[in-house]
Amino acid sequence: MCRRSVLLTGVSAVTGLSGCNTSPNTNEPTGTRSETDTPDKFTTILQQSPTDTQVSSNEARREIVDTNFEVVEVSDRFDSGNPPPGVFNHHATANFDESNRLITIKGRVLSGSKSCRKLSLSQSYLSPKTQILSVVVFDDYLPPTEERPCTLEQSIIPYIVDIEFSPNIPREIQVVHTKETRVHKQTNTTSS
Amino acid sequence: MKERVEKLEYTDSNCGNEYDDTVNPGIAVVSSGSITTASWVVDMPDGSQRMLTCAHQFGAACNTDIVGEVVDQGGQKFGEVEMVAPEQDWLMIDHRNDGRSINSQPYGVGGYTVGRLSEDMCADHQSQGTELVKSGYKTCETRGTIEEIFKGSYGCKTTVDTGIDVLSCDIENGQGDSGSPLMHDFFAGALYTAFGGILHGQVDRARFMSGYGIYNKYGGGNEFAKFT
Repeated sequence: MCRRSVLLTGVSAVTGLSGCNTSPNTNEPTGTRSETDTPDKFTTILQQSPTDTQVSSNEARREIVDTNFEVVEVSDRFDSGNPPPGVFNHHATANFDESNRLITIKGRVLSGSKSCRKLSLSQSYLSPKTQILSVVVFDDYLPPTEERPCTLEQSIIPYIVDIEFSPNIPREIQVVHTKETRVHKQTNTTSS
Repeated sequence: MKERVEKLEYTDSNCGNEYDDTVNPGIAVVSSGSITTASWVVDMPDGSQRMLTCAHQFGAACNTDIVGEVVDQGGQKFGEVEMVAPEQDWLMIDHRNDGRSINSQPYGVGGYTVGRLSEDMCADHQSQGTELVKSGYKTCETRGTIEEIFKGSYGCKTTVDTGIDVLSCDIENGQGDSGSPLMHDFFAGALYTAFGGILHGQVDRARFMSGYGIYNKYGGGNEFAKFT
């Protein structure tokens, strides 16, 4: 079983490609990364190094057979129950499990009101041309009502995505966090 | 009602209130994966003090199961939830076993002396048009006025009138400001500031749970706690 992990952390500015290949004799993560974080979109490229895996004759044949998305309790992600200050940001990691043909993405979204935000998986798509897996997690906005104002805490929302493939897993993933950035404001135009 | 759509401002800026050796109202605290703002200091009957913040970061469930949950400040444990009133959206933090001190002077709001909140003072000062100031993690010190006061409850029993006043205020706020103390000043020989409420959320205007309502139900004649 060859199980690889690529760990990437969100940054507040656009960064270029940066290699992080390591010796094949170590257990350190291998691969390359590229991250961008803008007000509306956070993108992470997760790549498994092709030099670390054996290329099979049917390498190019890949197909998504099952996808599961789940929002995770914060206490299940952090042993202390609360995230430390440095993790109030977007983040994504991936495990490439070749033997089980499974890719597992663990991420967290920097979000706002728990009462007015709803996290969902809006896309998991494998490009036939590039063989790049695109995963888009969407932080939707639910307009407030008189009975349900939008509360004003700042939160991180952890999630996990499991994607099963046949017969092979892709070597590159693009994880995107995007959100509804509009807020709806009610303006009373009737005279009192 | 006319609906308009505005783009939500995104900012990582804050007010420099992520950490302080002494925790004041207006300082960021972390619980249940969320940043909120410390609200106000209360005096207990035995003379010890506690810090308030909002409770909705633990979810909308109307229960008290969060007693004992850890509240952090600046990456360190600050205290534990000792008491919660989810229908009024506040919880009380007992910090005494965790090495940090608290102070009732609101962070970033100068020019005032913190005064005891008496019933008379609240009654006189919580009305439409009252000028207020709040101190929050995200938008710092902002000012505005009370536009409307109504009976309500946002913590969990949204349709049950628990007798607490909700203040609708024209005050700027942002994500992370939940729990922010709302203050109003009064003159009693000198200029004082008193606890006006806890920031809950926003509809068209900011919604604060009235400090007067909390005082009436859990302080005042009950001698449960006083707002120092």
